[in-house]
Amino acid sequence: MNRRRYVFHVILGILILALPLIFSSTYARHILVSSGIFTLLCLGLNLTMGYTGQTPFGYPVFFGLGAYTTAIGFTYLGTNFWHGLIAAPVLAGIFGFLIGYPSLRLRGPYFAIVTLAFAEIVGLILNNWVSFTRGSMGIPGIPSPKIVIPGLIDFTFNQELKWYYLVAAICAFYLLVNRSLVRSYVGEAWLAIRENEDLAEAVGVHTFKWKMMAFVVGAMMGGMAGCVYAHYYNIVSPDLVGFYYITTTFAMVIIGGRGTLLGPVLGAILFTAVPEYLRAAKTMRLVLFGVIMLLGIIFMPQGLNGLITDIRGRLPRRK
Amino acid sequence: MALLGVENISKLFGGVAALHDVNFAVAQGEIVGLIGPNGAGKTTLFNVVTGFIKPSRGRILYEDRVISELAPYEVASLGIIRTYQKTSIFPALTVAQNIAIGHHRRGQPGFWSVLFRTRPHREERAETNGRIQEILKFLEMTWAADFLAQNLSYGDQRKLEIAIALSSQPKLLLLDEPAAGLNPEETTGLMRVIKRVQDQGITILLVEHHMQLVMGICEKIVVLNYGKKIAEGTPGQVQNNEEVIKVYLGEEVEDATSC
Amino acid sequence: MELFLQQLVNGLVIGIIYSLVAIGLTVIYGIFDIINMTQGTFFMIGAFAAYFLTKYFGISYFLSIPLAMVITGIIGILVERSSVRTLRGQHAIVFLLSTMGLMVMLENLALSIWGATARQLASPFSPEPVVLLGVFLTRQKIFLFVCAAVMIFLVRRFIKASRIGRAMRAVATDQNTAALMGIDVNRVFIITFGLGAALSAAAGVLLGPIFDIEPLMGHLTLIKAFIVVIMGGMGNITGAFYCGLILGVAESMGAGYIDVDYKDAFGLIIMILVLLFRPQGLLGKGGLR
Repeated sequence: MNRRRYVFHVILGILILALPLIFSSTYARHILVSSGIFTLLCLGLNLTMGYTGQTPFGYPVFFGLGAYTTAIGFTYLGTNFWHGLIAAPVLAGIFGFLIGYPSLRLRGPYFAIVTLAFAEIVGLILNNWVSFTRGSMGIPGIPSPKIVIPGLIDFTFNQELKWYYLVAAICAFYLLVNRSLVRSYVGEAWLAIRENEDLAEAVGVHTFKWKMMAFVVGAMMGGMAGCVYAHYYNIVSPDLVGFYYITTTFAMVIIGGRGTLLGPVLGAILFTAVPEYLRAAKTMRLVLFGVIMLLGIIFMPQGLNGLITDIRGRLPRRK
Repeated sequence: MALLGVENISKLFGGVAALHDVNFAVAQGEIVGLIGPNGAGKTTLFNVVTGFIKPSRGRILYEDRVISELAPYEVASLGIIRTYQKTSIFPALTVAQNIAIGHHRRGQPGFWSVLFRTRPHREERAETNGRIQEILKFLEMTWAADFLAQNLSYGDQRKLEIAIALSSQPKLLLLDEPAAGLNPEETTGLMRVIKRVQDQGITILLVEHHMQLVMGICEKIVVLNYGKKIAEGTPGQVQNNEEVIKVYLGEEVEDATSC
Repeated sequence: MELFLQQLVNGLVIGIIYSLVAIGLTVIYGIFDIINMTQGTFFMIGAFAAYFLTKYFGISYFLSIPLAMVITGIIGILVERSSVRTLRGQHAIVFLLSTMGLMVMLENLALSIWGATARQLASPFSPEPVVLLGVFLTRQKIFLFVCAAVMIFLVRRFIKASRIGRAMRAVATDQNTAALMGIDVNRVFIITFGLGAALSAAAGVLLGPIFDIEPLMGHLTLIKAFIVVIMGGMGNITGAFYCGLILGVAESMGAGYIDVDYKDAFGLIIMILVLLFRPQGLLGKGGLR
């Protein structure tokens, strides 16, 4: 990595660390944490949508499954956040495999609808299996994470500030994993599938395997995000697999810019912060998302990230 | 020694026979041309050989092994690589990335190695990069390495197609109308490239309409019409074959050798 | 036996509604090759249009049906001109996302303007049940079935026999050739989208008096319509008709005999199975039929 990029990353890092200190109100920090959680979700979706070019409408099903995993674990087994952090992605990954295996054979729109169908089915089960999931009331009372070593540490993540750094750390982890995968022959395979699936297959890329990998890893990322959500908001409910999250996540990734590392991050932050700032009601927020999805598709297929790259490309270079 | 054997291949779509009882072989190291009017079944045959379509009857033999039922990527992993009639590249990727994907079937370090950046991954990267440079040099395209594939000229895009195919180290290369849309100068350049590919020990089967190219570099020519093979032989033999002349010129010519 | 017949009849009634919406969806797919996510929204708009027409403009229910169809048809045409036309020639996914954006926008606009409280679309018929062979029916349901069946029959005739219908089928087969043959492709597009929207709206008005109407009612209907279209084959009108009925009956039987809470899941499972084992639909695909 050359000098300029290194400096850029260091500055970015410092900025990220300092952000909650600059915006010090509880509300502002809450927005930051919320953006962070959406970022996790978007990065997961981006793997399947941005890199392999498939559109899984039902993607938030993994978010909900991850959240419910840790919620149910807590309710029936007394597990905590740290257990959930492992269990949620594992379970989501298993479901990712089960859902992906039949679905990924299908072409674009059919794939989108089938994943949506799976999400609807899971939603139905979550809503109706009241004895196990408490139905539409959801599962409340999920505790905040703690780090306890008797006699040495007794630390609870019960403030937005602490949550921010936790979420930021997980985001960094996601980005590292993404980057490792993307900048390797795995990432190349994904891009090949997106750009020209038939050609990729014809030169020996086992497209199904790589699509599955993106899908399952993305599912695991969504699952972990769900676990974080559960312990931050302290409650889970069936609408985590519903249309609100589907629309929001997709709008974020599309506007942020699919197929890039930073795009989804931008999208998530923008789409959480701006509506909150405008104090928009949930429905108006969705109207906004819908409009932006539409306009974004028509006018900005590369998303914000593409716009930035464009602008950077036009700036005079110094060397 | 026959590398590829097409045995009694028939393909029916609904009631229409796109291919009917086609038989021929391609010997190791040969350049074989497949010609015929539009709709004769040439691309369909390619699709059957590469596993994109399964034959209704007959079988494909490769190195004496039946491959008719394999999936396309499996066929590719055996060393049979094809290009397409319609320009087939990875548009929004750079030329280097395009070629890298061709190299995919060679080295597969494995998921964990990639994640933790261990030695197999680094070795694979080095090998791939080396191969990319090799091919760029072979095709005189080193200048294009960082260009987006979609920004190349048409002629260069067709060259890129061959580069991608070469990158996967094929044993048998199937070229589907490689000269389509090229001007005479580019066509001559293409003929040179194809011969150099043959010099590397690669067997080539190509579909073409461009007679100058076909007659110029093919050692053997197979002629299809309405899904049936109507002639097979050296360029000279095929040029003088009455059936072939009738098909291409639509009338009987008494003495074709007077050309 | 009585339960069986009752569920069968219930299933047919709801099924024909699915057919109606699905036919709109499948016709749009046949011509545009796109999946229209706003199809459910048109269903809702039709119902609401009829609601306001009957409640505030004193228009009779029967008249509100064609009026709602026209209004929604116009909205459909606006949708086509604004978001479908401008994206012509792009990947299928682009349309999926753009129509989804529209759907979200329109639905939530409706939600914020009209609120989430359910409303009743008044039926002109008396709610007294009619009993036929031990099966309970209402006049509204009978009217619904007959009206929908007639519409479907007319649409099918229209597409098979009329000049515009033939133009539509030509465009569905090959746009470029159709244009070369002198067909006004743009006009076909407008008519198609308008027709699809109108059919969905009709379904909304017909079903309105039976279930409550609320802004998000189009959601589930959209998914059901997808299921039907996938079962019946994209572009296959007859297929959509029969499969709509089949889905309605399957759901009804599932609700009656297995578990009413999971009624919606049956259709989803059927769709997943169809896509896995017979992706071209139970009755095949190809063009517009």
